[in-house]
Order: sequence, then structure tokens, then C-alpha cells
Amino acid sequence: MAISLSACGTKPDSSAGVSAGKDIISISDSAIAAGYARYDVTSALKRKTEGFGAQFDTCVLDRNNKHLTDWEVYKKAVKTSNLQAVRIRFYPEMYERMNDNSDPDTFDFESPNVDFNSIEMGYLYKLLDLFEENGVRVDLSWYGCRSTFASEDGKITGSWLGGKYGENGVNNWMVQPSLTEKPAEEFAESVAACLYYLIEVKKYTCLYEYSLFPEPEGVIKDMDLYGKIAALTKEKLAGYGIADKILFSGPADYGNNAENLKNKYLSGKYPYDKVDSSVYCFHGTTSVSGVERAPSPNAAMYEFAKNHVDVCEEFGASWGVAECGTSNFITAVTNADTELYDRAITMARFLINLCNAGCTNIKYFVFGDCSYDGILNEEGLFRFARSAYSDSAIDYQAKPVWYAWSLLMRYTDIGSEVYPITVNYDDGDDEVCITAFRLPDGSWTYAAANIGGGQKKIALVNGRADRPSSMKIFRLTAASTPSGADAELKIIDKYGDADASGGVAYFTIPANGIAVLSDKE
Amino acid sequence: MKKLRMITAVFAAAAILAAMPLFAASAEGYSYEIAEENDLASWRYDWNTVEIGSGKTGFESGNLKMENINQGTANYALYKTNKFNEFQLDFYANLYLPSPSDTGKDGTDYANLYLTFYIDFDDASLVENAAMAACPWTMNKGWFSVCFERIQGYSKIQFLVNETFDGHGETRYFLDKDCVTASTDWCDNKYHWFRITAQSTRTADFATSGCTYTVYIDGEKEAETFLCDRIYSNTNLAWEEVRFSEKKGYFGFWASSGYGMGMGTAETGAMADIKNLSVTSFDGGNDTPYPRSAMPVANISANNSFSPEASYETGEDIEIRLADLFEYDGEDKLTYTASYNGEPIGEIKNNYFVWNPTEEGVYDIDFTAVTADDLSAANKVRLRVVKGAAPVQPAESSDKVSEKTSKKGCGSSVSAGFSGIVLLAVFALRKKRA
Repeated sequence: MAISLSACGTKPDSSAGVSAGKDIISISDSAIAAGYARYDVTSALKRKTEGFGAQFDTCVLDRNNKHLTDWEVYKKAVKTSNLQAVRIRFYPEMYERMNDNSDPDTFDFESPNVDFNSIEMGYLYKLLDLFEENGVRVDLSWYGCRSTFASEDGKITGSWLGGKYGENGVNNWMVQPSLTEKPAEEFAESVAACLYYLIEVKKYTCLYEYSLFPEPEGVIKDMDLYGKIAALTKEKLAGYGIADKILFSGPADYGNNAENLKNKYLSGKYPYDKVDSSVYCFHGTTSVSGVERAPSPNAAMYEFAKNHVDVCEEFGASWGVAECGTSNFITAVTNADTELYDRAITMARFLINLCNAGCTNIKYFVFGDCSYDGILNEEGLFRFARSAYSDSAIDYQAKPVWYAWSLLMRYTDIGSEVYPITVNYDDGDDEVCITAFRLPDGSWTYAAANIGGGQKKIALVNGRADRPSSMKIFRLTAASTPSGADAELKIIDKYGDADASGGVAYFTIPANGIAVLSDKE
Repeated sequence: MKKLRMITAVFAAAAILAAMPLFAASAEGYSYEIAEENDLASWRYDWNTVEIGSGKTGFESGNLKMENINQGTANYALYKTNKFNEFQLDFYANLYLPSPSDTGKDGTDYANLYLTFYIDFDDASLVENAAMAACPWTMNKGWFSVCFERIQGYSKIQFLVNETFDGHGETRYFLDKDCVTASTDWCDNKYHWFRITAQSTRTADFATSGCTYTVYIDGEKEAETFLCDRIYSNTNLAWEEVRFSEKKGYFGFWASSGYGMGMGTAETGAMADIKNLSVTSFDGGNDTPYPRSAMPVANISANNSFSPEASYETGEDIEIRLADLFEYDGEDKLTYTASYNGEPIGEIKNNYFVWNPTEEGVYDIDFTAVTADDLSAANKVRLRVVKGAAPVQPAESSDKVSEKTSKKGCGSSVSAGFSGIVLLAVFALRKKRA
């Protein structure tokens, strides 16, 4: 085994990874136990992780859901899973109920039209308090103007800046700013003022990034308007002196094409500090028609991400995933594989392959099921209260994807180094994908998945001086996934331990299974 | 086109009119006979159903019933056996759909049952969740709907055409003058006879060519509308000539309400209980109701092509997907057993056989699968278990190299001895795939 670094498709680590000069143990092939496929931990990628997590919206607390929401369950789930990053759906009407004044250059915090203590903002603060406490990085995402907004105090309907649904041709629930004399300026003013309030007045430090009109092609017709708002917002943030305290991320495009991302959104058109996409183009064996199919290959996932990462690197930006799931949509909020283990292993492979390619953050859509404006969103990692389903055995019943995603979050941390393992599927086993993380506390986590029909015996070689000596093994399969009354919101039980003291972690990935090894406490 | 130059009083019209005397009776005491072989509401094999959340759509009561109708649920049922243009649909139903203002419960004030027609599938029986198209803006498949809606204290009947417009996705709109308050309160928690007819008029003139839809309750004509043939915006956002006078499609039910999530029928009372449903298509001169489809005959047998792994190791879980051991074309949930020498072995978990062997040897495991109707099949599978050996860590090496000179790669190899065999196997596999 002597594949050169360049053959792996990864660039030599020049700025991060292991400390220069540390000795590593060289382990020859003959030292590897018979029957085990060897994989090597080599060099870290340039960028460290920026968090794995999920979309987590205020609607879980709103009037459609609050009679069923047990907030203690959510608090515990956030801690248990080590949720690292979230995106929150947000819009100006939640705090700027009507235009503060007619001057978009001077936000009037004392205006009677401004209410940072609205019921809706109370929901936001409750979320932010939880994320602040748990070190979760937040993407506060202004979706646009909420034409269907109906404030819970009954005072406001529709959007002063975008119109009211059903009137004057407004026929989308989220629209671009179009009213007032200077709609772009008013929108930017609103965003910047709110961020100032949250950062400087409320003192939230969990706000890591903000985004505007995610999946912009679906909301904004005029992309020049999008660029204008983005630039104006940055300018106004600078005016508040907080431009360096939060990143502008986007576009969360859904084009599934790196060249399109580059040509349409990058190339200096928009002032992104951090680039991301919405990704729903991969699947497991499930299909909407019910007929089993071949799952998306690991190589396709890796290549997709590598293309995006490379494009973003041209502009000095990291690439992440603003929201994701599989391609098995029946409706916007119902997937054919929502309750299936197939989704769990698909999303695990997704994370592994994307990390190997250099993706730094991934947010699953969504954290938990709940009513989104009257429609049950069933794409959550876990179900909502039992009464919302005909066949839930317990409240907040975990789905298979919870066990995969929570395991991967629990045994990684923000700022982990990524050591790509499987990056060239032409030379290796295309059914197996593996990645390795070195966490900020020095612990190691290996994540692996196998879509083959037979088990895979793996020898993961890590000869570094700071290698783990012993690792816990977690395994997830369709058979072992807790179900029914056993499906509690917890991390799956440890399967066993692996001795890695000599530089080799031997483990087996079950057929169609996931294995995670870690020495993190 | 020449054929369309004449106003065609199609056969369907005559057939519908012939049936009219049946409605001449007063609402009170009105009845209508439907032969058992034409009663589709009690025959689940003709339907595709979908339940979202705690929504319940099923035939357990002996007929089609929808319960737990609230904002967090959805109930769909689609008649999947036939599609048609001109028709007469009859059913005897209790559409008890009180809205939140009727019951004093929290929620947005509506409750309704949509009947959506001309749902555009090639073959709905092949589409797993076809029923969801009964909601006009799910899948964008249904062109026309009749909606029984309870809102603000009124029992309404609405006709809606569903098309896209202005490039902004699906929409639907009421046909003019056709949102009427029914003279018969269909939401009184009693059973009523419902009849919906579609009668085509075919001319060369778009203004007069189309289809007339009429709703009767207990024999009384409640509402009527005419949907003309014209250019509509189709679901692909393209303009399309749509002739309702000829268009065929499936029909389905969709129930919804503004009650909060978790508020089930036990709390709100809202439900739709549909009995004695028959459909008569008048297409092609037909005038007899559709019969029930034949009861599907399920078959179950052993899948003898299943191949276990060459060997398993002691101490490692063996997991076998039990669906892989049998061929079954029915829809029942199967019950599985596994035994060895007549004694149960391992456990059945999530429809997998799971066993952690402790002793090496050859095990002939007997598996059985049984349907709810006691159809069964057996399959014997031989599992070879070898002794698992814990791999040994390499001895502490003095062969230390600087990381800067390391050329370790990212791909994989298989260790000496076994590696050659496996690599050959991989090569053979790839050749086969090619």
C-alpha cells in the first residue's frame, strides 16, 4: 500500500493537521491481520469543521405546536446529540411589524412599529438561549417577506414590505421586498438592525452566520436586487460596528451544480463569507414509487462535494450544506424514506463523503417533526408528540436517522480536523466510505458505512503519535435500530471496544451498516 | 374536429336523465339501491389510501372512513381501478365535518372534504402514494374538485378548477357563482345520499363545449356548474388545450380541517364515513356501474436464490433481512420465525433475523413467514460459523518516520495472504458488472 497523497485527490496539509515533526509509526502491510482491508489516516484537510446540525425553527413553539411541545425534551435532545449548528427560519415581520419609518438609513428602535418583545421574538430568544448555553452555532436566515404572516397577538397580517398573500398578485408565502419607496434598503436596514440588537443588546454570541433568501431562485426574481440587499446589509452592519462579528452565508442554492454555483453566485457577485447549498439529490435504496433501486454511489456524493468545495476554494470560502435530506420527496414535507433505516445510512454516507471532500458543515432538515404553518413536517430526526400520529408508541419517538445523525454529532465537535480516508473509489471498495476526525480535545473519531450485502472487516491504520489507544465501537444496522417504544432520544448503546494501541483499529462494518469508533469521552 | 361541429348529445346525457326519476323522491326517506358487487366503499382493493400523522383512512369499519382530521394530518383515498370522463358518482355518507367555530375548539375555522376528479396518472395502481393527488396542489394531478366545506357556520359546496398560473406554481379558484350554501345541511351528523354527475357537451366552440357538473343531496339538486373546454395553464406551467368534455382521470377524496395538530375525532367529532359508493362511467356508451375489482390473490414462497455469506464468525452479529428469504406479492405484514433443530434461535428484530453465534459449526436454520390469512412458506438456510479471532496489534515498531516523508495513501488494500484472493474476487466482480 503506497498510494501517493496526490493520488488520493487530497492536497498535502500545509497549514493544519498534525504538528510538524511528530513521529509516526510506519506499519507494513504484513503487520495487518489477514482478511482485513487496510485504510490509512494520512493528512488533514485545510479546513476544520464548522459544525454538524439541523434546521431548528421557532415554529416548534408557536400556537400550532405549543400545546404539544415539551421543551424539556428538546433541551435534552440538543445536549444528548451534541447539536453543533442550526439554521433558523426568520423574517422581518417578527420584529419590524410595520415600517419603522420612511428613512431606510436610520432604524428607529423606539418606533411603535418595532417590537423586539413580540410573541414571535420570544420564541426566537428561547431558541437562542438554548443554543447559547450549548455552544450551538446559529445561521439566522431571513427567508424573505412573509406574505402569510399572522402575528399571534392578532395585530399584523401579511408583510408591510412584501404584501399580503392573495392580494395584488402576491401568490407565494415568502416573497421579495417590493413595497415602500426603497424596498431593498428597507430590508437591509431591518436585517442589520435586528442583528445589532441581538448581538450588541441581547449579547448573543451563538450567532455565527446570517443568510438571506435561501434558495434565492425560488423567492427572488431579480438577482440584482438580491445582490443589492446583500451588499447594503454588509454596509449597514459595518455601520453598526459588527461586520466582523458574524458571517454572511449563502446562497443555499438548489441547483446541484458546482459550475452553476460558481457562475451564478460566486465570481465576486455577492459578498459571501461562507458558501453553502441545499442538497437533496442523493438517495438510498428507497424510491417514491416503492420500487427498490441502487443507492447513490459513494463516488457520486464525494465528487459532487469535491466540485463544490473546489469552486468555493477559488474564492477563499468554505462550503457547507444549509439544508439537506434525500431525494425521496412525496411532498415538500413528506419523504418516502422518512421512517426508514435507509435514510439513516444514506445520510451517514452523505456526511462521510462530503467531509472527505472538504465540506465543513452540514445541517439536516429538520431537527424534529412539528407543524409548519398547519402542515405536519415529517422530515425530522424524530417524531413529535405521540398524539400527532396514529402509530407512535411513545412521545418524540426517534427515527432511524436520529440514531445515525446524533451519533455523528455526538462524536465530533466544531473545529475538528478532517482526515479523508476513502476518496478514490476506483481504487478501493466502492461500497465502503470512511472518514476520520481529530477533535479539538485531541480525541479521534472514525466514521464508516457499508452499503454492501456482506460485512466488511476494516483495519484502520493511524500511526501518529497522538493516535487513540482504545476506541468505543458503535454500530447501527436496520436490525439493531431501536423502534417503537424502544426508540428513545438517546445515543445508541456501545457495541464494543477496539484496541488501537499499536496503530491499527480493527473493526467490522456490518452489511448495510454504519460503524463509528471514538475515544471521545 | 369535424365530429365536434355537431352538438353531441352524448349517450351519457340520456343515461343520466334516465336515472333522474330516482331523485324525484323527497329528501326524507330517500334511498337508492346499490348492488353489493358495485359497492366500492367496502372494497379496499379498489383504493389507494395515504395517512399522514395521526390521520386515519381505512376500511376497518366495513366501509371507507376518514378520522383524526386536523392541521397536522392528512387523509387521502383514491379510486385506483378506473378513470373516466362522464360519470355518475353515488355514495351514502355522514360527512360530519364541524369547523372549530362549531365546536368551540381552537383552530382555523374550516373543515372539508375534497373530491378531486381527472387525476392524471397513466396507471394509478402503480403509484404508491397516488391518493395524495386528491389534494389538488399535491402532485398537481387533479384538474377539478368538488369541495364540501364547513366554514363559519355554513355548509358549503364549492366547485374548483385547479390550474397553474403566472409561472408561480399551482393554484385553484372557485368557479363563478359556485360556492353555494347547501339547502340540505350535509354536516348534521346524519347520513345523506350524495350524487355527483358529469355530463359532457361537445361542440367546436370552446364557449359551449365542456362538461356540466351537478351535485345532488338526498335527491335534491344543490349546485351545478359548467366547465368549458379552453386553454388552461397546465401543471408544467405551459398553456394547454384542455377539453373537459373528453378528459379522463381518476378521482379521490381528501379530508382536512383547521383543528390544531393532535386534535383527533374523539375530541372534535370530525370524520367522513362513506358507504355504498358506486361509480358509473358513461364513456363509450356504458351505463352500468363499475364492479369491484377481483380480490388479489397473494402468493408466498421461499426465495431459493438467497445466498448467505460464505461464513460468519463467532461473536459477531449475523443479520439477515427476512424479506430476502421469501417471495411475496401481497400487502400483509408477514410474521417470521427462526428455529434450529426445532428450537427457536436468535431473535426477529425489525424484520431481520439477528443471531450472535458462540459456537462454530454448520447451522441449518428453518425460517417461516406467515401472512395474516395464514398463508405460509418455509426456507431452510445453511449458515457456516467459524471461530472468530481477535486480530493482534502490530508489535511496537522502531520504524519511525517523519510525518513529512510519509506517503501513506487514502485508498485501501487487503492484507497479505488473503489479499490476493480478495483482489481477484473484486476483479471478477467488476468484470461481471461490465
